[in-house]
Amino acid sequence: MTVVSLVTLGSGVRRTLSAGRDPVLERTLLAGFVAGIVPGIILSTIIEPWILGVALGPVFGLLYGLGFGPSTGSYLDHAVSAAAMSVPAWLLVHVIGLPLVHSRQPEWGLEGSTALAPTLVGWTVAGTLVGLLLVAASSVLEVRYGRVSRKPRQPAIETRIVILGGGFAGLTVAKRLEKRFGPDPTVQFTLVSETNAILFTPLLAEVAAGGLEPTHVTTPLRTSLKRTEVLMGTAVDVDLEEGYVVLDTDDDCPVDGRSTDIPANETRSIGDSASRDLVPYDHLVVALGSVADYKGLEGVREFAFDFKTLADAMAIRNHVIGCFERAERTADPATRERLLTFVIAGAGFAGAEFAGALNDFVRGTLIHYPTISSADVEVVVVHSRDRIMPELSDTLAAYALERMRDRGVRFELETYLETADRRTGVVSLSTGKSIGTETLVWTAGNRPNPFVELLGVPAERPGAITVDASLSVPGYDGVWAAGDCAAVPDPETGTRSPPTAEHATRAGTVLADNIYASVTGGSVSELDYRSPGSLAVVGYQTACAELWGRQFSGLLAWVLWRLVYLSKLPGTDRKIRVLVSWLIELVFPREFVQTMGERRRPPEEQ
Amino acid sequence: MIGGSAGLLGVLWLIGIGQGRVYWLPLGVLYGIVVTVVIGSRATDPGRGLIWGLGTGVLAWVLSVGTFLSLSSLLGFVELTTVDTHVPTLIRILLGLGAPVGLAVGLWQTRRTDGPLEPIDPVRALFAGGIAGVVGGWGFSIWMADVGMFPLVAELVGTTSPGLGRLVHFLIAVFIGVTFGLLFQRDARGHGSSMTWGLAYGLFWWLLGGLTLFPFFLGSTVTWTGAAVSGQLGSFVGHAVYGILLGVLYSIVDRTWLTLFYESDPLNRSVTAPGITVLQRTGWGLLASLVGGLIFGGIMWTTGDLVAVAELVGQPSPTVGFLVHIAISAIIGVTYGQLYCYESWTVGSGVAWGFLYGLIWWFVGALTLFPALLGAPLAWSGTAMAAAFPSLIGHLAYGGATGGVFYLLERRQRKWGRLHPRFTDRERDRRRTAGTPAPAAWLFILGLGMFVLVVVL
Repeated sequence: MTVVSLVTLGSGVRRTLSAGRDPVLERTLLAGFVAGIVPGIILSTIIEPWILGVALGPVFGLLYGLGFGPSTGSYLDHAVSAAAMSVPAWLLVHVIGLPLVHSRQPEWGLEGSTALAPTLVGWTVAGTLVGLLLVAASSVLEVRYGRVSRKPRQPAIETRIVILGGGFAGLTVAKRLEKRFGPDPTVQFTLVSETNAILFTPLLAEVAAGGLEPTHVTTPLRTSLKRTEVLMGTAVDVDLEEGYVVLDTDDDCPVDGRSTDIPANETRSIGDSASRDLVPYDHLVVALGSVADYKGLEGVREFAFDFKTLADAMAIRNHVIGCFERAERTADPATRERLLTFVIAGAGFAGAEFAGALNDFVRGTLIHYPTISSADVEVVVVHSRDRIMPELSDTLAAYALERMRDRGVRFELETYLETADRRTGVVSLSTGKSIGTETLVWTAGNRPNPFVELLGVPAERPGAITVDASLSVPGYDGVWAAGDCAAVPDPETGTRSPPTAEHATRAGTVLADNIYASVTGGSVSELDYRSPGSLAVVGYQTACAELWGRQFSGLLAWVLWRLVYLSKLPGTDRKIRVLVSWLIELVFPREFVQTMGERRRPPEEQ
Repeated sequence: MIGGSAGLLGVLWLIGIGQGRVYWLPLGVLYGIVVTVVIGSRATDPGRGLIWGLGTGVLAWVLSVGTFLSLSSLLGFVELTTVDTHVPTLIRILLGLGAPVGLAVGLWQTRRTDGPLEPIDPVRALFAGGIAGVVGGWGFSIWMADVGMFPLVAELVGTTSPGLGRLVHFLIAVFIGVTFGLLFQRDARGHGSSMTWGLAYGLFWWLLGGLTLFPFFLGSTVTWTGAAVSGQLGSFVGHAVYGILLGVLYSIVDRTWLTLFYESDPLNRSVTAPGITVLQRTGWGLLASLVGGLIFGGIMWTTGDLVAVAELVGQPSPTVGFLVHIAISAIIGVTYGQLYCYESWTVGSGVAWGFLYGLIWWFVGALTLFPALLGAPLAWSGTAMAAAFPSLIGHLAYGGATGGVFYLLERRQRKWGRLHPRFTDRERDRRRTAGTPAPAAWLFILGLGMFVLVVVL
């Protein structure tokens, strides 16, 4: 009974306080009180002093009504439920409570309780009546005063938060907002993404190299988010004055023929399918990431594979396998050389890791192509600086370079790629050297998504949105940015934070917290994140890591790399799948099935 | 008509085993008709009918005894104001009227085709019920072997061989398990409710098997007096533990079956992965158990039981006992979260499930595991149960608080459902609503259990 009292009273009071006047609660309390009057008379015959029994009836009725609610069942349900609840009530009142009232020890012992058996019958009878009378009283009140109901309140949406981009920054912002706002129905979140999944880019090289399956490193946005509305599309315009984003409808002529112009005073619901191309907002988060920057180099855009998306990784994998298949049967030595030469432009983290993974893949695949020897295959990395991976210390970068060279990767350092000719299959370098190849992968430069130029907000070179330490765009209330498309100041150096998933994630968290603070009237905080270090894998069981000032290399760093990224991979099921793939890789060959046709034909056939 | 006939047959059966009178026949018919009207809309299959029949049976007995006691008191017949003299009537009502009328109404209602009654999968019921019956029977058999019951059981087939007695015991256990599956497949939705239904079914079989059919087939007189029932208290706890094991095992096998052959189908997959909900329930159960554990801890402090708890870790100190108690409470709270999620539809029903879970742990923990861990004999005797009575109050308080708080925490999560129809749909599919026989199961278990304890012991 105490338990019921505390829990139900607590619940009732909380509901009342939080919701103000609650007609259902009032009706329940009244019905419960009335329902307990007659049972109280019965209890008065078994309880001393009798007035206590009279009082306990309504209390029991009230608590039972609060706990079960008169509208949740029939006469039978409530008669039986209340009779069942009267048994513990008897224990509380007759076995424990009344002896205490009479300054005696509770009747813990069975002998004392046995003597009270007739009162248990009385309590059960009273309980049954409470259940029956509760429904009856509730029905009478309903007939007399009409039906009351606690309709689910659907308060108007007061704040719309639109997130452009479903990468690390965008998804982190959405998840964090969901956590901070909880189920608050006055706030609506919308995430616009060009893909329906987040790609875990640190493992992309393994996908391209056949170590992992594509779906294992991607997680659908819809399963990652609880209440955020996910719209798959591309933002093509924005009106910062009116506060709406225009999405590419993938349809030049809308079915209903409406213009995409909206009146200034019109607000359209996101749920209205006819107007899903116009997304109004109160807070806009720009987290669109970056795109490849070919720096205007001749022929590169046409020739090179990008290495940013899952489709890129799959295309590279299929292309490389196709190159081997064609090299196996071609008799022309020059064609064969081009097919078996793989050029990677850029040796930052992405380029170096990809080169290491690709080198492992192509050399590991050789055994299945008897006419191709290891000497026939060449993986070439063209890099503009004198050392690779500038994010790492000199020592580790030198270690990585040495290990990759040992494993067969050729480096062209302090060298620029100048032109690329897809038709002839030749890339020209700044040193005057030319390399015949069918495969050029571009990782040498990125720039913020071109959409940021449409915003017309201050930007730093090369076009990244200027944000302050709170991730807001100065001078534009309600506009925020994070990730690769934003120039997020590094609290340590004051320069722009590196465009990594780790920094995007941290910035996304702070950004969401600051939106929450803005909406709820709190104070915003500044990003104060210092990276614990960097990890890079450059070959099978070969990696280098720099964590909290300590350097690791070789197998230990490789294990660390896998553990860290496995822990950060979103989704338990993905973690398990990747772990299983890595375990399988220990004892079985890598997959080299060509899952789709190559995206282009060899030059001589064009 | 159906109910009246079942009531008539029930009374005839009572007369057949020497527990009825011919002039009760009209009463049986009347009872059957009234109960059919009362539970007709709820008893939509035999299992539901049985539970409603048993629940309303307890209710009918309480109302009749209450009336009798009141009249006796008013008329000055003080010697008639004891409850123990009415124990045979309780069993008569339950076995002769409640069960047959409920089963008959349920069977009749099954024939109706206007309700959305999902079909029973008999293979699943037989498989899961059979396995659960064997395991539950094994739990019961430990005590039976200790007290030398098997030769007595073997007498059912005309021998005194303990081995044959064990075989007969397991055959009966499997039969009960299989019928459990067939009767309650629709209602035993989760592990918690299945365990509760198992407990109710175990107690029903104590009445039908232990107190009635067993002596009947051995050629003895069937006696349901307080003294006779008091001699069967070991069997009472045994049947309760058997029922609990049966219910939980049935549910585990049944849920595994559903997971492998139904829910793994892409057409039937749920939105949220099970791993997420397990973590949520664990957290809620843990928080809720702290409230229940503190209340129970206070009771144990008053009764001086904390020292005994501390002996589990070899440190007879009340403080250590309290810490051990809180740790055990947390573990049981976590299991409550896993077992009873989606079972409550109001805070009161959450408290009620909690009471039942507390009672279950009194049977399993205080009367069985606790003495076993301390190297003592199982507390399945009247004396030991009487000594453990304060602990029963503590277990009930613990369960009620844990169940209520758990429901409130669970309800917070449901606010998400208001934001999106997919959450609402999932919630509706999984959550138990009012109208199932759950209240009848609570009343049958709590009412029968408490009356047996305080009247018969």
